[in-house]
Amino acid sequence: MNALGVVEMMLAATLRMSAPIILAGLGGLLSFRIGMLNIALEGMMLIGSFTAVLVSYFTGSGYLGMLAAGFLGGVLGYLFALFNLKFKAHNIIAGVAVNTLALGLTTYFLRTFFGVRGAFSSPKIAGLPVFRLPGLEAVPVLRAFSGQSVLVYVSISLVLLLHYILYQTPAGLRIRAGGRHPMAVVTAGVNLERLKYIVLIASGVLSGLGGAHLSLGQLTMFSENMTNGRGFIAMAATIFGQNTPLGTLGASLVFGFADALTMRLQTYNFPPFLIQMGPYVLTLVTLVLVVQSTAGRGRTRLAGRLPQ
Amino acid sequence: MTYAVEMKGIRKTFPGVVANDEVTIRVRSGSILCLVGENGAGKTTLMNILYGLEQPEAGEILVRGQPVHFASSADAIKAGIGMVHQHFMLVPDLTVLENIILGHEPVRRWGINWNRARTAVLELSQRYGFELPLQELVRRLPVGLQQKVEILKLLYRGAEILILDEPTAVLTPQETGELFANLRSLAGQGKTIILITHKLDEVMQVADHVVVMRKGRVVQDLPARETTAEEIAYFMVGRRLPEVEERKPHEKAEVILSLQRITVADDSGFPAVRELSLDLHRGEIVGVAGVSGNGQRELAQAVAGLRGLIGGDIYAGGTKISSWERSRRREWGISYIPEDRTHVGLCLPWSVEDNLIAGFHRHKPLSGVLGRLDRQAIARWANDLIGRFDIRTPSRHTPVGTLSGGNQQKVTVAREVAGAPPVIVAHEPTRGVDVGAIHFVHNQLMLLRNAGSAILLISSDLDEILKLSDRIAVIFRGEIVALLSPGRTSRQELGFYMAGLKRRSGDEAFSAS
Amino acid sequence: MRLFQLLEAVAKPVLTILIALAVGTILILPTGTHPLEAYETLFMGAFGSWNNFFTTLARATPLLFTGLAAAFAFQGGVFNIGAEGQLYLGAMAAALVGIYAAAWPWFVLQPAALLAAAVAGGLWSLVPGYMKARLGINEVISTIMMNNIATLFTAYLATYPFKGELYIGATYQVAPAARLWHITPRSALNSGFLIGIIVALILYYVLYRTAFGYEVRALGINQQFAQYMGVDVARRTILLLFISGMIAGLGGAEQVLGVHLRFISNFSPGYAFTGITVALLGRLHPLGVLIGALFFGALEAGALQMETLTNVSRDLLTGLQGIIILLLAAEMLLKFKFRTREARPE
Repeated sequence: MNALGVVEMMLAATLRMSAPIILAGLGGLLSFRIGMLNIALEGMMLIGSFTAVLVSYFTGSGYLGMLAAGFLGGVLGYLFALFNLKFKAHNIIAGVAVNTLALGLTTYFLRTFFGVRGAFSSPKIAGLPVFRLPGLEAVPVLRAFSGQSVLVYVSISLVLLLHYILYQTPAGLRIRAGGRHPMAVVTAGVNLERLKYIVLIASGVLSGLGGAHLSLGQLTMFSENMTNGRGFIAMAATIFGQNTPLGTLGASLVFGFADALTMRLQTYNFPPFLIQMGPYVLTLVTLVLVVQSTAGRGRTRLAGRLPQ
Repeated sequence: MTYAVEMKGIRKTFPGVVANDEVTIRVRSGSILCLVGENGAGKTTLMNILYGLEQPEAGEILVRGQPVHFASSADAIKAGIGMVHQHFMLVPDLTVLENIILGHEPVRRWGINWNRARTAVLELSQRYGFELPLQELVRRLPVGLQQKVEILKLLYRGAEILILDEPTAVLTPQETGELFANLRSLAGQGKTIILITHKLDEVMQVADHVVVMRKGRVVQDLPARETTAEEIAYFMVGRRLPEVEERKPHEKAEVILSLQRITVADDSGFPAVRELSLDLHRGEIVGVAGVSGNGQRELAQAVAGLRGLIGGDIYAGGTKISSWERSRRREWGISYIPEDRTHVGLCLPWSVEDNLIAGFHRHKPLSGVLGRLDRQAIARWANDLIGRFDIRTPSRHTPVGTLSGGNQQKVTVAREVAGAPPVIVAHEPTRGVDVGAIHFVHNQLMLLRNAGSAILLISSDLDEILKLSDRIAVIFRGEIVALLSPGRTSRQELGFYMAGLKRRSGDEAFSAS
Repeated sequence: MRLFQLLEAVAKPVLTILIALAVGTILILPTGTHPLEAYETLFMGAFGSWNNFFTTLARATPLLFTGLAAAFAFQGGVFNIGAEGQLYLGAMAAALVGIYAAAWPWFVLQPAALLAAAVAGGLWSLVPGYMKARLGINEVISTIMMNNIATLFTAYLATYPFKGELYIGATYQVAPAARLWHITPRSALNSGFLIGIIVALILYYVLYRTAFGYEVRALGINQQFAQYMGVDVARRTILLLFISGMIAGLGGAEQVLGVHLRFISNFSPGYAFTGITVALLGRLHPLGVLIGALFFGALEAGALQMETLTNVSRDLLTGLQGIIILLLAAEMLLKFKFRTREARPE
């Protein structure tokens, strides 16, 4: 295979692997902007993965699986919001709770509905609909953009949509203000709490969709703890992307690329483990680099800096 | 006659306290009402109710003669009521324009109509005489200008009734005069203004009408011209307070703490204190006067040892302590009463006892071998302090968060001064505290001074500074711009220094009284 | 007063467990089995015989370690989600010492292996510790990343450089002198459990009876207050993570030296995450954590029996975990409603 072919294949793989991260990352971005650190992306994505397979299996429709995944993700997002806003639980504990719940329920129901442990696959599971872009099919490299699952296109469109929403609409202004000075928003007569619910539910829907792509996007199967930390990588992507939609897109593509590279190198008999470590190490490195470069600017306000 | 606002028989309780007890007030449009009372009297609660932030348990509110019910601020805003809070409700990283339109953004099709927003705000700022840089980030504006943004915000929302909560806390005397001129002009244009304040001389300057509250009730309600500041003070407190402990004259004593050209950075790395020099002598109170935000916090933290120096040195009793951390300075004898007692000075869910030992828990007699805590010694310590400082608490095990503000401050003060330390840094020691506790704290400080302690009193309350200080240092943008004797200066002169309009040159600055 | 606090520490997890079991009947009903029958077989499987009881304790041990690790860090406001990675590093360190220092006598080898495990676990936590203290990077993300890296890294070590005689990714067996003392040959229960109890007691003493623990608890509730009273927050955070990592590392050592007798890739079915639930269940109190660990150990020991004799699959456990978390969250709601009022406007 020539170089161009490799590039094309890598691009296609990157797009495919980035999609779930972009989706969940956008959810994390909104949550962070409105002032709620969201570590439950992982659990919401996992629920999405499982639900997508479950519904697709019983209905034979990838679409329905996808929608159900988004819906259940939204339900989990609502639960997360409830823990945080109504029960006033500590943010991190609420996130751990949602993730644990998701892991527990998906494992339990994997057994209950499908009678297996570990992983489940079946020809009855329909994958996500795939879109072709006829114009691009003749072009090398750009060909990679055609033939992707619908969620890949959705994720990229959502980046642009969210960019517009965040900077050009009242809701976006209120979200941006809400994370920095919630009382200013409340005293302006805005129902900030309701906005937070909406944002968290949205993050759930987005993560759920991301999960659907994971389990229905190429292969159709669900395995225990399928997300395996991707929700957290999405979180890292938002931070890396300076909490902006376009930045998140860029960061997610980087991580997706690392993921794709891992798969590729495995066929060359590289010890798989070391490559699989790649994305995680990369995340750590980028976290450090990002913080170093914006040191003193106070832009990444994730956890308060401890004074020297 | 229809009043702009009437609040009748308002009742509001919080766990353990009646904040508003059958409160009735009436305000005429085009007038300025001053709502006066000490901290805890219920004035902010009452205005929060008027602004829809709280719900009354009983009573009714009428706006322009019509009964209204506010479920949230959105309703109050619709009724034409606006509120400028003590702590500004401005988002620092957004522009002036974005802050003003927040919550009431003009829209076109799918997004914000920035042109319409800009036009509307510019028109308003011209009409009312407020010049504001719309594209500037709020955090870059000086405080006086930020307050103008807050007021313009209210006008943009169509407020006819403006409530301002302690607006002059962050202003110099000159800026206060400017604010009052603006307010009078607004009143002249038919707006109704309610000012919450506890500064009586300002009340006499600007009020048309005065309402005094005490312990949740209205105790006086009369036109401003029919009363005096002294009379209002009497109503606020309900009794005449005995004078604070007398100041004993001292011989010129030795320097116990010396700050030599210290430079301290704030959280973003900017030098908040710049080459500041100051000497503290035994048995004196040096009052550091200034408008909040001129480096006071960084100065206090630097002396206490919670913030490092990026330049200069600090000497205590002749020893260089610049690199000493907080615990070592405490051991030497530098106490620190922090500005923020709820989040820094105390651990609210913990008991009074556990709070009283904070900072001393590592030393005998409170802890022994391997750091083991001696619970009996701790109990003795706590009971002793509770008794000596008259801390009103059901028991030493009571969570300190349930105590009143004044008693909470007593816990902090007790802990810091019980050992009669040689140096005390007191930053806003009586903020948000009732008059009885204020008196108590002032007394304690004076007693300590008479016994030989040196006190660095940092406060934005000029009355407090003038009453207690042996010398007054005015801080502006991180530098001492004047050193004055309280007897030989006036509030006006202090105001000039605080605003940076005047400064004493080199030698003069250090040779006062 | 102290007795009351101790009773409280024990009562809260017990109460939560009872409520969780009650709610768990919802998950059992669809299987057709009567909930009481399911719980009875569960109980018998956990406590019905000496062997069952030993199994319970054995299953509880890793959770005790990871629970204590989490609880101790959480008390100081540090969310150590990285116990899984610290566990693996500790396990690998113990395995390597146990294999390659085989000539040493047991009273040197065992402590050495345990020490190596503790140090390895502690060192692994230093990276996120440093990142939090000096760079302000949220430790939740960094510790999770480290988890994945550790799992993969140790799997790599066990599959390539240190691969043993088995076909799977696992090392050789550790020397007999390194193996922890077993109570009976038939069960996995070993002296590691006792070590765990000792660690719990030490942590209890440190947290509630010493000045150091006073500072740690203050740090967990109000960082500014702790700083104000002289605690070096950055240094303390790193120290807390280190200690927490050490405890998790010991947990890994127990599994290697006492249960599997070698390092097996991916041997942990999520001990650290269950440990977090255990820590929360125990309200972060070491003795509460012990009760929580015993409960989960009992669940695991009894679940197999329950699955054999009834229609209820043993994945009920994970379902129960989720329920417990929900209960803990609900409890926070109740606590909020009855909590002392916040400072009201003056």
